[in-house]
Amino acid sequence: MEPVLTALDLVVDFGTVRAVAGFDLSVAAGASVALVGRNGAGKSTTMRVLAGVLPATAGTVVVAGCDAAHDPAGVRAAVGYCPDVGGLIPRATPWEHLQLAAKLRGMRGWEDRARDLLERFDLAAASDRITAGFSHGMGRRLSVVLATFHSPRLLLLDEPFDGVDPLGVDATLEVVREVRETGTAVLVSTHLLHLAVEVCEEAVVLRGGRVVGAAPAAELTGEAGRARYRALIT
Amino acid sequence: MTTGAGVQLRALFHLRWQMVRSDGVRASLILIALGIGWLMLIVAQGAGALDPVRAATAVELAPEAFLGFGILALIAPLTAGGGNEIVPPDQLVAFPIRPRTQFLGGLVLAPLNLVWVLQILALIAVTVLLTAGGSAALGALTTATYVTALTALGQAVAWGVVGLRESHRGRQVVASGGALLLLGLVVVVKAGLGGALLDHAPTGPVVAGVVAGAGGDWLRWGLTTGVLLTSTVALLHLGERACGWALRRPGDVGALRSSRSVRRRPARRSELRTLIALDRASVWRAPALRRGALVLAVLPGLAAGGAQVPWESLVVLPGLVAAGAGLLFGVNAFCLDASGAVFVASLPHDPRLVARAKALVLTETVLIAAVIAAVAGSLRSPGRPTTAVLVAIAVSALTCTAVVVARGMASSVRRPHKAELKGPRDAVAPPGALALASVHLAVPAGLVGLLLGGTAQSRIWWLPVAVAAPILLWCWLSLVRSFRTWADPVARSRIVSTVSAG
Repeated sequence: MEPVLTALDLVVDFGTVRAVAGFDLSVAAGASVALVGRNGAGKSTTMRVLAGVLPATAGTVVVAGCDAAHDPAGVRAAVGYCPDVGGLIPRATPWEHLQLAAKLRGMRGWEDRARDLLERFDLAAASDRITAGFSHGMGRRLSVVLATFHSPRLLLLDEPFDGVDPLGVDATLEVVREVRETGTAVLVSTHLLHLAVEVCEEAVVLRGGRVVGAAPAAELTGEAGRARYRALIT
Repeated sequence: MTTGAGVQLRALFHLRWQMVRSDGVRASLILIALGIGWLMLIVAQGAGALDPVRAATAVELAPEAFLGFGILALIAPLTAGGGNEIVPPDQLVAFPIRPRTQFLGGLVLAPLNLVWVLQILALIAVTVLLTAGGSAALGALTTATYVTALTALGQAVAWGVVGLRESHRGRQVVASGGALLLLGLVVVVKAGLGGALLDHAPTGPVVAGVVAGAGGDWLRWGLTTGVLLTSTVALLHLGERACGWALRRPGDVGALRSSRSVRRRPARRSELRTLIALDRASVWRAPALRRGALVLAVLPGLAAGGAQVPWESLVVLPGLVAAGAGLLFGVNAFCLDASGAVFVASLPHDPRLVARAKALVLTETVLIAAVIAAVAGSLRSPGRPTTAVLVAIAVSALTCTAVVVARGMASSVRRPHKAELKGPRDAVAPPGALALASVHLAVPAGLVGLLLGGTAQSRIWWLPVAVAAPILLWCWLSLVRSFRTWADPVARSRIVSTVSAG
């Protein structure tokens, strides 16, 4: 079966700084992969490129058959992306974010799905509140709602658990499980190894902008798993 | 343990200067400062060479000139929600910044305002004329003390208002006070008492003090300057206290407003309309932008109406108002999305739609402000205008808006800044960048206004249209260039990264 995501020899330069240095990854439909690594390993930059937000300096990204270099809109249509920080228009409400996403994605009859997601992420009461006043956790939860709202082919979650309370974490884990069942490929970037293990079956370790190791996520648990992880990231 | 305000102020200015990464911007800022100094010299020398009739008129109007500066010094910090900030407060939460530092920072940054500079130039000219034949230095000292005192007073009042507005009752008091003041002004203007009021301007003794300094009347000069100096010290102290009080107020109405619920509106029919609706909301829900837009729409028109500006002079007004309106958010339009720019960029759409929506919202904001000012200003203009003048005013509003939108969008794609615009004092760019931007907008818009003002004298109604046509074409081409830059994925990702920086 053709993978939903294929990244080949991805390179991203910011001036003289090489943020991503030859990243390769392939994720099949329904699979879930954790991107783990230290701060500055290139996880968020990679996620931005895969989301079609940042153009790669070199390399290839193909999502659901669309090449990011030639059909970025096609990539964005297939992707649901929760960025690492913020990601919300400060003076718009959650409902207005959903309205915009629905309009630009050409979705019809989206309201019930939107209400359901807001309910599950405990945001229903705040759906008409300006997001500038949201707590960090509320903002994270809304970003996950926006990423999963259109049942994407590829779900990219960058630090989705950062500052989120246990109920929010549970809601995210549940949504990830659901979308995987419908064939969505999931890529989660996180510092929280135990949650990465819980949500993903594979883990890819990044260091210095390149993949330095990959293993079944379960193998990174326990004392031996953590020691292996530490050895990879240092 | 905290350091003194002077040390903190120096550290903050040093940090702000270091944060200017572009050598070009640094050079421009230095050039502007030198240019203003040079202008002051030119004005000082030129005023002395003024013909006797004009010089006499200027001397006669000196109290009004001093009063005009005083009014500006009071209004400017009010419109800025307490004054400009060297570094946004959310970036300084981890540092023990004193209220005194914050207050003095606003005071030092007060000159970063084109209207303030223009008023200072006017005061320099008036001071030179008032002290002709005597000691200009003593008169200049009195004027400088007056300028410092009034600037400190403006900042102190503004911080007081900021503090009051932290509670619901305080907001009501401020709103009622503002309405009463406005009503009073309208009554004075309608009753034709403006002239009489100006004749009794409280700045008369200040002018007398300036003249006394030149004429060797040491007692009068010393008394006036001494009172001004004492007032300055007292106002600095008062302002610092007001600033500290405002920042300590627990009411936090601002925070409540930033997390309030708003009425849900039905989905728009097209992608562009949806984006426009969001951008409009981003403008009107930002306290600083809302206040700025209202002030720009009301004050210039009121001032022009009060002064009974001739029809021909009204042609210049839209340019000045448009430049001010452009500074609200036009020079950094993509900051409206702030960190949400990443969310928007991750949605499938033609990127040019986003730029088009921002340009359209900017156009309507600038045009409405310019039209309101022109209409309000014209209500009390004497006589009947010629067709050429009416056409020139309309064309001026349109063309100056186009110039501001074109330059604003060009600046938005070239020099984006992160700006969350959450608080009442938040600006779309750092103080220095805003000072540069004000020159970039005000100079061409002002020149276009003057050019069209010249055509209005001709009585040929189509001449303003003919003159404006190539300018509008240039604006269109500039806008197309900006849209093309935004459509480029590399340039767009740079802008998105900047405005959404965490």
